[in-house]
Amino acid sequence: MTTVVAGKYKIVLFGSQRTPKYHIVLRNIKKCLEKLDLDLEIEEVDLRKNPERALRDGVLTTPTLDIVGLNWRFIGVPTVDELAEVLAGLTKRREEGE
Amino acid sequence: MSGRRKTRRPNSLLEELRRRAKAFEGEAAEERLTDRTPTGIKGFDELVQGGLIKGETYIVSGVSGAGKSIFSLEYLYRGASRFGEPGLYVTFEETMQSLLRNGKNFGWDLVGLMKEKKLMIADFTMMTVGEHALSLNPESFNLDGLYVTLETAVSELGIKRVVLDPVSVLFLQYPNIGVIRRELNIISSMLRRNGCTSLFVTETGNDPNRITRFGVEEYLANGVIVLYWEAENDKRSRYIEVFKMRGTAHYAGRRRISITGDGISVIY
Repeated sequence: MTTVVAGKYKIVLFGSQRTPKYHIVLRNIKKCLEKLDLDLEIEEVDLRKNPERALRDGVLTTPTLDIVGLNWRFIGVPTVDELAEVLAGLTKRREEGE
Repeated sequence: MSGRRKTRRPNSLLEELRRRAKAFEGEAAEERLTDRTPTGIKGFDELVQGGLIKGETYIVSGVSGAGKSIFSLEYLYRGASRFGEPGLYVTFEETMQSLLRNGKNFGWDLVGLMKEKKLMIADFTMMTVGEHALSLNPESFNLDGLYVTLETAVSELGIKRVVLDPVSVLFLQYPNIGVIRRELNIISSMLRRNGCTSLFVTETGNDPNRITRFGVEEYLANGVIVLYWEAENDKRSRYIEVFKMRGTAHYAGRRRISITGDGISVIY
């Protein structure tokens, strides 16, 4: 059964949609959610289109991926396994009834 | 028989070189080459033929307490208030509140300049205080977040003076000197294309033979200004030295400086 994670948890990806790395990270996020059977909102922020978000969210580097609620930030291109290691915590929290 | 193909238009390279050289002919072009950005800091511009070369990047280095941030803030304050050049201060270490407080101590109305859009402070300190648990792949990132902030400010607010304080934090935070150096070079080129005269602040390392902490910052810049804060008997004194400044006949050696009620003064 898919674990639906709503409310305070979401993934925010900052980058430029024109760069290959952005799409690699997005692909890895989707693969990871599928692997963990998690349904989690993904917000895509193209800093070229929304430059104010760099300052507002304190993003100097791209790609940057925030896991809101877990207070976790990935800089660069994380692998599916690296993402799964962190996101697995959400499945656990769900099971514990948070 | 040589395997190298014969160039179809042997003179095309020469034509291109001539075309490029033409861009520097004439009075207006000549003026552009020697155009200066006065810092407005008392006694400093006299050391460097009237100011920094417009559109170039300079390193300001020194130990903690030497006055690097005050020098940089005053450069923007004088630029905005006296020379009508809007400035952007990007801070990675000292908060906006602290910068405004420092300015107030010198009687500089920084808040007023911000209201008039002549000064902008981009406070990135939240990024460098470790708010997040962090996973970093040092091989696969760039400084696009910083780049778009600068590019937007330059194009939308007509920024002409930029300070990044301190760039050494970037080298510490993202442990890949090659990537940071490459990215700062890209940023420096963008600022140059847009006619911004910029200061990149960094610390002096413990090695007395090094003028910057990582020994690479100086290669990003057209010039290096070093500030000193030295113990002499029972007190400390401040000095300034124009260590390197391409295209400028500058005073070689250190000059004493003082930080007075309204900013920095070079003492003669």
